[in-house]
Amino acid sequence: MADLNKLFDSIVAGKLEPAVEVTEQIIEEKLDIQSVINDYMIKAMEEIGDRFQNHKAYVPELLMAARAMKGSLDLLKSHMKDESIQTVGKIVIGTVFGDLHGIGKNLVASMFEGCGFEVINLGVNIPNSKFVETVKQEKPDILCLSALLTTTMVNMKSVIEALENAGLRNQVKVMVGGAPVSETFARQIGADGYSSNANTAVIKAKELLAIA
Amino acid sequence: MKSLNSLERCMAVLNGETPDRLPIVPQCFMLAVETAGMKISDVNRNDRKMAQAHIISQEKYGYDGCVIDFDDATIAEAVGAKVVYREDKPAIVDEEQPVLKDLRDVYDMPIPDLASSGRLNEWLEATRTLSEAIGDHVFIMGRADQAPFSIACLLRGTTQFMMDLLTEDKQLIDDVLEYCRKISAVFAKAQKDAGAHVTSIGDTFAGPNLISPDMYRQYALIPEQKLAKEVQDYGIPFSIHICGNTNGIIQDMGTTGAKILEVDWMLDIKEARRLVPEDTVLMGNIDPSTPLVLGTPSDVDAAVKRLIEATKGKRHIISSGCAMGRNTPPENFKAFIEAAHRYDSYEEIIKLQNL
Repeated sequence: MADLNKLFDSIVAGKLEPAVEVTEQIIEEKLDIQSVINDYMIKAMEEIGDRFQNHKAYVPELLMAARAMKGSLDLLKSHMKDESIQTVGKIVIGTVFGDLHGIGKNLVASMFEGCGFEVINLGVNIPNSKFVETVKQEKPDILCLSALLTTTMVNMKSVIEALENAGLRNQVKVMVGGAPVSETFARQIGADGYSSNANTAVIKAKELLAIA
Repeated sequence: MKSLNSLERCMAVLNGETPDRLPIVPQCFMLAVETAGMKISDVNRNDRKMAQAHIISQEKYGYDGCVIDFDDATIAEAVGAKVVYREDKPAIVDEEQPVLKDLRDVYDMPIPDLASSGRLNEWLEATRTLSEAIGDHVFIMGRADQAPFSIACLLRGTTQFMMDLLTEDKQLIDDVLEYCRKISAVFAKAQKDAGAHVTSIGDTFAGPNLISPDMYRQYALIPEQKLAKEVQDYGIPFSIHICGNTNGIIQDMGTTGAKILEVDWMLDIKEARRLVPEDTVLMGNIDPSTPLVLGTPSDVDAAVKRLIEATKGKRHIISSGCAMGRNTPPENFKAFIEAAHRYDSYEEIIKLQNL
């Protein structure tokens, strides 16, 4: 029988091979994939996210957990032919124009993914027009903006203005983060939320979507 | 107390004497370039213009020392990393195309040549020009780019290296770090020969915003210690810059033996003063974002006052916690320098220390 607790533990410990092993058994035994994802895999990512926030895990551990999670999830997805995996919300994320920093943003993206969100990761150095276009086409629940420099964080404000000009601002929540960004700055530029790390980003997003 | 010039003031702090007032050495190369009416792309391959920018900015604002820095990409570039140049922002390593496709590639990596590899020569010439122009009275910190752990991140790709730490053989990782330490030492020692009063390296990737304090001790600390000893034995004080929240490692950083530790705003500097050796100089730690970019001159003033009260002026060089953005309002920069001058006189420091 597939040891679901072992799946949970393997994701938390960032061990891809045992996670995949259990996943293969899950498929073989035709278990309910959605409940495995919800009750074990997302729970594991929430656990590692919690440890990250409390300084009991750091970036290497979080990356390894996300890798194990993704390995299992990809395998499960390939076996779910017609039905798609339920998502708790849709996120578009990117680093603003002029800024090439992506490590923190990617961590946030993988936490979202691991916690059950559908994530479109646009990458770094994203022009305002690209954010606007993607919001229009993909209709995400939340747009997440990242910046690591005091000179590029101001571009977050212009993304929000561009959304307003395109008449899209009330259709999407905007969250901001990155080293120089603060709660006060987020409020000043008219963002809906701010978070200082990958775990609180997920908590904040759920709060904004009232699914906490 | 007789009035000192900027260089004497900084050296007094390094020597453990109470200066006429605390020196202020802001991490302001980007702002200096802006102040001189130039762009980063004008200076990052042109040592004379870089030196010129520092001369103009230092003269205009009257701070005590210049931190010569171009970007975080130079050592990696000198051994083959691909670098992206931009008009108005520092160059950056393209980590999508790592030099070390496999950690074992480290055994075939070159030792850079100071005269011909990448832009090492431009950095050193900038130090030389600046030292010759104002180094008789202004403190010159000639940075030597990144520290071993951070170089390893840039050569391998940070995300990959973070995972390597948990999956690869410790000996192999130590070999990579030892290579990075060697190339770092070559550059740091050359800063002395170019006339710098102190040299400095950045090891932000090794800070607790990325790796655990345990991992810092396991991987980053020993190369930092060896480097500090080698460079200081060569005859130039050494400084280590780790930005972000360093509360969990500041005591370890104190064991590197580096004469100066450059610390960021998230560090409790009062507690840090207690945790590092008495003769270690702390340099920092005003937040470059709020108040320096987003605050008002009076916010800056209040932050500097609190900072000086926290360290009581003991072995302290006032600075920003990290590099100041070129969009720092000039009135805030001015307020930063003026506040330092207002609250840190010899009499004030003695008063604080006797409280």
